[in-house]
Formats: sequence, C-alpha cells, structure tokens
Amino acid sequence: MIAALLTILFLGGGGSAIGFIADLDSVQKQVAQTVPDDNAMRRGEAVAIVKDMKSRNKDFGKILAKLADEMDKSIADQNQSEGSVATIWDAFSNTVEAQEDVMIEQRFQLKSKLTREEWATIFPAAPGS
Amino acid sequence: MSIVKPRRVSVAAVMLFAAFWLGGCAGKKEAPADIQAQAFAAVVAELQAVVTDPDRAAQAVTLINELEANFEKGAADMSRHKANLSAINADYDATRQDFKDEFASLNAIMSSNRKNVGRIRGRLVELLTAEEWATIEKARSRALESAFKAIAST
Repeated sequence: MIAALLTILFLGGGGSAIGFIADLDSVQKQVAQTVPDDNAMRRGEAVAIVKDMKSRNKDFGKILAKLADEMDKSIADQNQSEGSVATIWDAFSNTVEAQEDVMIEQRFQLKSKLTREEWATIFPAAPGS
Repeated sequence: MSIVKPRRVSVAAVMLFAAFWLGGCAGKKEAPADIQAQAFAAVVAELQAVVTDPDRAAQAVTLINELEANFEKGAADMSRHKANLSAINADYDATRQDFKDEFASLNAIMSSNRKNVGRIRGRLVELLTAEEWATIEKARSRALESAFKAIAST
C-alpha cells in the first residue's frame, strides 16, 4: 500500500510536484481541441509529444513502483540498518530527479509547438498568481 | 413499568443512530490531515500499551511525534512547491532554469525530510524490542500510509 502511495505521490494524479503537468489525458484532449484545424500538422506534433510524455511517465511509474516496494519492505524490517534504507531512498530520489529533467525537456518540446494563446488556454494561470 | 424503560432506550438509540446517519449524510469526508493525526495517535496509544518501561515508552512517543511533525512539514513543502511549479508552467516565458531552480529547492527539502525520517526510524529500531516492533507494525504502517496520503492530497 505504501509502495502504491509513493508511486502516486511522485507520478502525479493531483498531489505531485513532479506532475506539474499532471493530467496528461486532459492535456492531450485540450491540445487537440485548441490548436485550429488549419494547423493540423502542428497539432499532430503537439499531440505526439503529449503521448510521449504519457509513455515516459508510464515507464517511470514501473521503475518507481519497484523501488517503492523495496522501500516499503526495508522500512518495515527491523533488521535493516539506517544505511540500507538510505541506499534505497537515494535510488528513489535519483530516479525522481532524472524524471524531473525529462519532464522539463518535454514541457519545452510541447511549448515549441503551441502559441502563447494556446498555451494560456491549456495551462491557465491560477487565480491570483 | 418494564415497558417504559426499553422504549426510552430505544428512542435514544434511534436518535443517536439518526444523528450519526445524518452526520454521515452531510458528506463531511475526513480530511487526510485529520486521518493522519488519528493514525499517529493510534501508534502513540499502542506504544504506551506495549512498551512497559515508561522511559523507553516516552522516548518512543517523542520519536513518533517528531515523525508526524516531519510529515506535516513535508505536506506543507509539497503543497507550496506544487503551486510554484504550476505557476511556472503556466508562464509561457518561463525558462528551463526556472524549473530547475524550483525542483532543486524541492529536492533539497525532500532529501532533508527523508534523512530525518530515516534517522527517526533508526532510533525507533534501536529503542524497541523485536516483539514491540512487530506489535506496532500495523499501526505504524497505517500512520505512514496516512502521511503519504496527506502529502499526495496537497
């Protein structure tokens, strides 16, 4: 259970910081609706980037779930030293940080395919920000 | 005579049931932070019941309280950085460095939180006997789950 929660936490789905573009299904739909028909090629390229983001996120989730499972067992086992728990945490952190870089690059790939106005429609600024 | 008393009890029970039922129907779902507080309180109660040496019990309770405070801080940190990252993402002119700086700040805080959690766990492991550790396992696991849920809900 903790493994699943850790995975959700870092994969997005509402609570994750790494998932600053959390709902990729919704983003894909909005890209398809927002980019006009006379820019079908650009729209297709933008949708392809979102699909790639989803795919990379899925792969990341599988790695994370495995590490989270190891962590879950390690924390519960009284015979595991602080150092051995820390080793798994480090692997977990490295995986998360690598995914952050991937997310940043993909965000800029997506931005390169969208106009300022389209971007504002798909990712509106929060009120007061 | 014997009829009146059961009827009174019955009315009271119905009223109590109705109060709970209506309270439930009001749709007040417990906040993850409240669930977390209850789960950690359960660990404390279990420790106080299981660890018979008052000195060790007090030390263990202090550690659990530290752990809870650490998770509360983690939830507040995550909430703040999540809002920052959403704002950066919404900004069409944001740079890669804007994201990297925000993530670096978040990662540093999370790393520090994780070290604290590891340290506290290490001290609990040393403090409790194998039997005590096994006895609080379920309550401890529920507390950790509630803490992660609270962070994920920010």
